[in-house]
Amino acid sequence: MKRSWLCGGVLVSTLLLTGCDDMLLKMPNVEDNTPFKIDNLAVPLRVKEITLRELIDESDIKVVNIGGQEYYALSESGSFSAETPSLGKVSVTVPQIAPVVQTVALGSQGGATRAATTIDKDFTYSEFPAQAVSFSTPKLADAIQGVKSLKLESTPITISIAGQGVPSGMQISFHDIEMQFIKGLQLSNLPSGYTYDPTTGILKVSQLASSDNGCQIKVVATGIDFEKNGAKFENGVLSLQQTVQVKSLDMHCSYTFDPLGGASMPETLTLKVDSKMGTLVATHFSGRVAYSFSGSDFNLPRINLTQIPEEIRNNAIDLRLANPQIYLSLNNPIAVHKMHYETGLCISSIRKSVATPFLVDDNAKITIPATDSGMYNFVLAPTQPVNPLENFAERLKFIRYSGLSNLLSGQGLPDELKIDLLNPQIPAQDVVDLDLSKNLPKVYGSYYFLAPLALKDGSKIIYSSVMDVNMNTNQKSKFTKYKVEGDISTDIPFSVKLRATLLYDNGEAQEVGASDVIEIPANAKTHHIEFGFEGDLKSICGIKYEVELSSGAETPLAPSQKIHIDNLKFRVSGTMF
Amino acid sequence: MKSTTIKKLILAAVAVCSTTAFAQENASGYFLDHFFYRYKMNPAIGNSSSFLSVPFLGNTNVSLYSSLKGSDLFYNVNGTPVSWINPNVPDAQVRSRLSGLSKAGLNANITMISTGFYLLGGYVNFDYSAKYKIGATVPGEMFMFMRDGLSNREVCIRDMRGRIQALGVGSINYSHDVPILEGLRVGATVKFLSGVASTDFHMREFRANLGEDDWVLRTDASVMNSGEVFKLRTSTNPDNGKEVVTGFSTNNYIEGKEAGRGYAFDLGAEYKTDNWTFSASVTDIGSIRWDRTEYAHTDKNNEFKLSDYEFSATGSNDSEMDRLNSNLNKLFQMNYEGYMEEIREERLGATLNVGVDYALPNYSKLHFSLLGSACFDGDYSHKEMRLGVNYAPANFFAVNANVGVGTYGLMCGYLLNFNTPFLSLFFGQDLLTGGMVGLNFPF
Repeated sequence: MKRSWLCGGVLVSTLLLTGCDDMLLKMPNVEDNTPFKIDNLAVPLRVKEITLRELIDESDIKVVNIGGQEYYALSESGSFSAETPSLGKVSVTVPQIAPVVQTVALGSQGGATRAATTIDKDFTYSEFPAQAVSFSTPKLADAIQGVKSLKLESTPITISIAGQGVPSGMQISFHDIEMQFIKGLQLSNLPSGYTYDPTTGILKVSQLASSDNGCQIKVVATGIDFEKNGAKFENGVLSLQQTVQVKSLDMHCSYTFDPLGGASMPETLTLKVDSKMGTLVATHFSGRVAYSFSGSDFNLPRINLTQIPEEIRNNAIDLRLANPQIYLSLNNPIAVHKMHYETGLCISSIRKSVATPFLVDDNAKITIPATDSGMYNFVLAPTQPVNPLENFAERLKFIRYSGLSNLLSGQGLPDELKIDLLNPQIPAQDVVDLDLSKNLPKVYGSYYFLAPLALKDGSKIIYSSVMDVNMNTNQKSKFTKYKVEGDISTDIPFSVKLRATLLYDNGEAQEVGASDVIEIPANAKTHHIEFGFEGDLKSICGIKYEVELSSGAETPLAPSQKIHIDNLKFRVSGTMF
Repeated sequence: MKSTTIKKLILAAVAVCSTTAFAQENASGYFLDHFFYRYKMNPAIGNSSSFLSVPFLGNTNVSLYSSLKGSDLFYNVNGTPVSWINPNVPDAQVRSRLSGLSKAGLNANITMISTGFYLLGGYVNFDYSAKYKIGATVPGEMFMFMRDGLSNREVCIRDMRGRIQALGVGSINYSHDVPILEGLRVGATVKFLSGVASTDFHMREFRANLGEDDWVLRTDASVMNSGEVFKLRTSTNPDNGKEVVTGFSTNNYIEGKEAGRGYAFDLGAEYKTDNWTFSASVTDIGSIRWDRTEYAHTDKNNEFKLSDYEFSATGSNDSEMDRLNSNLNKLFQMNYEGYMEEIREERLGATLNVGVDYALPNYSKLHFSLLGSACFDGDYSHKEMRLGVNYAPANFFAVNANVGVGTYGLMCGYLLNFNTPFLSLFFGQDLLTGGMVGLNFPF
């Protein structure tokens, strides 16, 4: 059946063609002379907003969020840490103190009668020979600039006073001893009857148990105040020279005569004073400390700028950082000792290994206070940022850094940026009772260099390319006019100049448009543009276009900045076959 | 042979013959003596003798018509043939010729069997014929759109139609002289219609507002298809699960199922006085009711707006273009509604014929005639007026030649009729003149 239909169709077609054959034979070129006309046809198109995000390859540039708004920026972040100074152990072995011997007179016994069997007599002696006590510490840690006092492990000090060659039947005992002792000692748990004045070093002992014709003064030193004993601190060595001397003592002598013997009480008696002092082991340090963090402790990595897109690296661009900011967050592990530390900051731009430093205004220091152990946040910027980075917002201190804006200024971009913490140090300051048995926590912190990009007034980004065009797809079609028009609104802080040139097969070039340049001002509001091509467009092989972006304001570039095109129309005239 | 089988064969024959018909019921024979088939144009006209047609060959009529002439579409500009689109053709000239509704088509009437004889003092004809109508209308806006080309304006193309109709028509005709008025003869035909197929495509409106600020396109079109010869081919739209029309299939037409029934009447009168003969008739007054009619239509509420699409200046627009193309296709997509619940009733398209014939008083073998016809068939309506000369030099031969003017332009025609007691042959043409150059039928 389909065949029948096919036959029918062919037959009907034959009928029609038979009817028209003469005409068709006469008009072989009818099609060529019957173009379908396109008369200034406007094709209205709605175009999505064009954002910078679509135009800029974000693999080459960083996008940061500041106050909920994204910006193109240079940014670098990281962390660092540094050891705090270690004062080391302070341990002093006091050299042996040479004993002194003093012969004291007991007086004549001539007045004594034989009837008396016992003589009890009290003596007071003074001005025993002095015993020199001196010691020096090993070289102390560099951080120690001065020593005020030390707390010591319990250090026993024993002063023995004993009679030598005391005959039998003679008993001596001591009391009310007054000694010149080492000044500045902190003696703890002095027994009853002991008094000690660390300023004068006078140790008084009113009662003292004696045995075997001698006595021992035992005290325990738990600290030493070097300000009271004239210790010297030179070249990291603490030296102390003191004397120990029995200033006076009372001695009671009891002699019992032997009725069978003929001995008598001697007229003199030799007393030996022997002082022994254990090794001084400091547990806590009070004094003056200063420390410079050095070496690689605060080395921050360099910021490589070669990753920035080539289009904005060219020499015509004076790229400006829009309120660049460097955030620092630092702890203070020495705040527990009421100590602060500080650092300077310098950022240098480096072009071909030549560094140009930019210093903080007035060369101000960043001081990490001693309030507590932190963290402390700082932002250094030309102006105080309204929306600081969230991670650094608490306890944020602003330090003006005007030079930062010009960090990238110059012909072309620097190769890299170098951030240096200048002379980070614990400035000389007194410390009280620094526990020497514990290591101080590290100083640690983080930084975030954030520099939204903007073009300095007068900067230009020039981009040029050739777009291949093939207008010869249909030899019979002929388009004589293309025109694009629209109203452009934008919040991009660039003015845009577009220049297009038609490239013909024969090598000729012709600039396009009624005016040579289509110009869109920065932040344009419904700015009308028109451009187009006229003439025989069939021999066009390409369109060379140049886009020149010029900065009129230093507004930072943001991915969300957009170009909105309203009333976009493509107009075309010509003929189609 | 069972009657149903015979019926099917007949209907199948109606379908098959739609591809092989090449003659036309010829208006040139309206006034021609001994032309047996005049009763089809005026039921009051009887014959002077009985006849029996040769099955399938007795009377095969095809009318191929067009309101367009070649000279409407093609012009000569400085010796170069160009189409109406060419801007060098004067605009006024083109608009005067092409701005109206253009019609073209093919009507065929194939008599499968017919016979006529005297009965009850009158004349009776029995006839079974196949009737086909293939037609299309093209509004002038379509031509003007092609001529004017694309520009920012509103284009509205209304009433573009196309149809195919195939019917089997069994008829009984009876004509009788009216005794009370000498010379008056009246007649009537009752037609029993058997529908085979009817397809009607109607694009009521295509409106494209190609404004400078937006382009808005709308369509309002539908297709109705009755019978089993053609079937709407559908597929499921994956977007909404609805059936949409993708084309036609012709799988079942050979079965020749009767798809509709109807009745029609022809009424006519003829009055002869002296040398004058006046006649008038109205034929095909009636309609056919189709049992089952497929219906599909575009969504007239659907609107294509270019501004609904947003393109990217920097990225790929593939998905948006896909969406645009998809929605543009939807604009012309026929949603298939299945079979209509209501019965589709289709009028045949009545034709009014009014004729007057004058025979020379001294030479009655030569007479002149004027025939006016008007077919009332909606967008396919047409009318014509023919002035003819009829010459019957002998009883076995008569010839008519005529010229006319009508909806389809200037016309001329002729008919040669050979009539012997045993065999009658005729052939003739109603031709358009000044239309399609060299138009001819290999008949």
